[in-house]
Amino acid sequence: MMKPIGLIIIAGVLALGGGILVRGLTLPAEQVSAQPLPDFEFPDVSDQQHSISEWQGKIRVINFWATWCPPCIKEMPAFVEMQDQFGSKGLQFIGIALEDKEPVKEYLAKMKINYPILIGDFAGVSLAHQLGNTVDAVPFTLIVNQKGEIIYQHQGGISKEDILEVIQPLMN
Amino acid sequence: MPFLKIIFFLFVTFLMSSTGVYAEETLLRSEQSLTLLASSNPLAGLIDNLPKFKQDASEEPLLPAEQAFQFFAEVKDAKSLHVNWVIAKGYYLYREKIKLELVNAQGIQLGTFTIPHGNPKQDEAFGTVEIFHEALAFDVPLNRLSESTETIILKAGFQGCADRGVCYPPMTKSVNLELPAGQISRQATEIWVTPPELSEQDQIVQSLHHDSGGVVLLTFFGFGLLLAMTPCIFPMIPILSGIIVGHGNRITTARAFFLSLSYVVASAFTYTVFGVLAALFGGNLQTTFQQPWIVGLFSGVFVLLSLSMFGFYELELPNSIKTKLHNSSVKHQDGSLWGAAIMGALSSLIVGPCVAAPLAGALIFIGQSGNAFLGGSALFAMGMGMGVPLLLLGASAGKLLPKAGSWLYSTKAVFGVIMLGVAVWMLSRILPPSVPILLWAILLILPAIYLNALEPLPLNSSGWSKLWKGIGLMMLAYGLILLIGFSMGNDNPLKPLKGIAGNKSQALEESPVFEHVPNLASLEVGIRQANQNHQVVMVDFYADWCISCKEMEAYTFTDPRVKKVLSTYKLLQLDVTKDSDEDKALLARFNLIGPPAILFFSGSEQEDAAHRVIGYQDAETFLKTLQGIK
Repeated sequence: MMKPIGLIIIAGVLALGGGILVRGLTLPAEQVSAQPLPDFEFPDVSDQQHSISEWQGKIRVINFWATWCPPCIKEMPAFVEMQDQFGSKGLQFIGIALEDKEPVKEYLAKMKINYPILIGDFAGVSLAHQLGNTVDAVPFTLIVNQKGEIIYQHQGGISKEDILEVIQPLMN
Repeated sequence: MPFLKIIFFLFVTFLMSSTGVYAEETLLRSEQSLTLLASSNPLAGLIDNLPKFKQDASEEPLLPAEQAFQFFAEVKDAKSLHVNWVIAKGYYLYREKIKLELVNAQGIQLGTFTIPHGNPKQDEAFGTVEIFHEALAFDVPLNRLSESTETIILKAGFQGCADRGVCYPPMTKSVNLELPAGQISRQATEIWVTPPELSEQDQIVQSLHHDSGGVVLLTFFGFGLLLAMTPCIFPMIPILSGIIVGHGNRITTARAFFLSLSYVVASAFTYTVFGVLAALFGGNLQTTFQQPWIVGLFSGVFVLLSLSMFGFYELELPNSIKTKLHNSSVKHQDGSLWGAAIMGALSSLIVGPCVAAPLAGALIFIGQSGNAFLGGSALFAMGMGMGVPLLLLGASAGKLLPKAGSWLYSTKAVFGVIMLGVAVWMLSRILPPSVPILLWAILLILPAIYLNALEPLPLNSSGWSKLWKGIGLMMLAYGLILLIGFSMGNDNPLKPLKGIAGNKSQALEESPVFEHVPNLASLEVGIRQANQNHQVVMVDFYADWCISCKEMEAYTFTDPRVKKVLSTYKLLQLDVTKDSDEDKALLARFNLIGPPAILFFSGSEQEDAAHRVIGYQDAETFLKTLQGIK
């Protein structure tokens, strides 16, 4: 009687431990590869359509953000500063808001943002997803080189130093 | 050892299969990335070497929103819903973004509800906001305009972020709920909105959510120590003593201590396991093990134990098991440690865990957060705290007990009687109320005869035999009184002569009279009536198998000072002995895990949650509680 019961318990424990092991080993790893930036277009707050290819040939920092996202709001002043500093060297920030126009318009009325802000809304969410934002969380930032290749992607707040490290080699 | 071989084989096959799976997956993944690389610019290969190209590998990948924030809703009863969010570690929800609505509902709407307060967070962009980590749960009342059963769709909107600085878009989740038939709400605002003040159990739930693990464990150990001072562990003392005495002359201090330790650890462990199971799957911790046949069986075990104490037979393990234990690494003597452990486990289940605020808090916490580990550890710490007096008992038993000789036999016989007492005490939960008093009478009278209560003492008898005869006589006398009580139809062995004519003090001894209410609806009516008369309502949850309830009734409610205060109250009692669906709904309605529980409603139809009493309180403590109520 003892043996089969003991066996079942041990097999159960092993199966449980094994299951946890397997889950640990197969957690999805980040898939990052250089992809060409697809073409897309979104309106700005004055309903003007803009294609991303408008800024082709520049080093583009594409920042997905939203007004409901405190970490996004927090990092935007640094972007404004860098746009000022390196705009003449071919750096172009583009903000894509993942929400509808109204709150963005309100926000832009209060804050001085010196780079274009497009209204991505739901289409923006799926674009970001397609570009590697697997969990659909913002801020999510991409850096695209002059050739139109996405060479860097980052989830979460990004520092000025992080961006400089990537763009400096491109500006020389 | 063919047994070990099988295990090893199982283990190896499993390892092979799991690593095999892993290898396949990596292969797939590298193929995928290869195609991706091929499709892009040939320079792409070089890009891999760029600094910071990959995300910081040390960070765990972020969870998708639906895993970070899980929303659940359930029908609590015909008039309310219970909603809760389970929030992954490192993620939080904003209080102000929480929205609830019914989709396409006709004849039904959500009542006013209050979202509990969260932790304040200083946000650079938004100022001070309230956020929730780990879990959020509250009840939402329903205003019904129709009585029929119907399906409603509850839509919840919420938004949150991860601590490491990313935020998720506002999300919505809809849940279909089957609503049972219910009464039409008479008022626009439903009674019993989430209480603004926290009851003790809710405070404990909060502390489990926010305090660090060490603090929680220490606190719960402390709770256990406090509980050990209440009558709820008393029944365990004779059981453990019986086990120790049962070992007779072999007992040493160390051995007695280890027996107690194994008893205490096993009971704390069982307490934990069943607490966690009950919390995760719902259900009442106590009633599960109060089935008549389980109680009967366990009482039987005690009768067997007592018979062995009387020397009718040696209680030993069957030979087959003994040899097995002998052959295994467990030394043969230690078989009795297992015996003590088994008794400990059974005791904690059947003798009945003490329902007290910490237990309720831990169970609710586990139910809310699914964090069975912290909740379970807390329960275990509490179980160990409760066991401290038992360990002290064990440590001293080896010293106190006689080593051999006729003394040992007498001591064993005494414990045999106590074991029988435990059996009667447990049986009294399932037998008709008049039977136990008869059993107690028998249990007093027969041993009294053995103590020579009726025989004249020899002329030059020792002081001891006089003492024993005295005790025997007292037992005999009380036994006879019990017999009289039994014949009068009384059922309380502590008050066998209740109702004898001329007993004037009778009325004073009587505990206050409760009005029995069968269900939630009549409870509501009762509370409303009392409110009109400006009376405070005390609602007592009671069950026949609830030991603490009976203790409250016998010792606390009968206290003259308590009675004086209670005389102005409206006293309602809900008997949940049967544990019917209606009873369960009642308990769930007030977020209770079982009796004893005393709720107060003063002035409004909302519970005065801060003064809720869970578990036994003596007269002093209970008076203080009563003073707090306006």
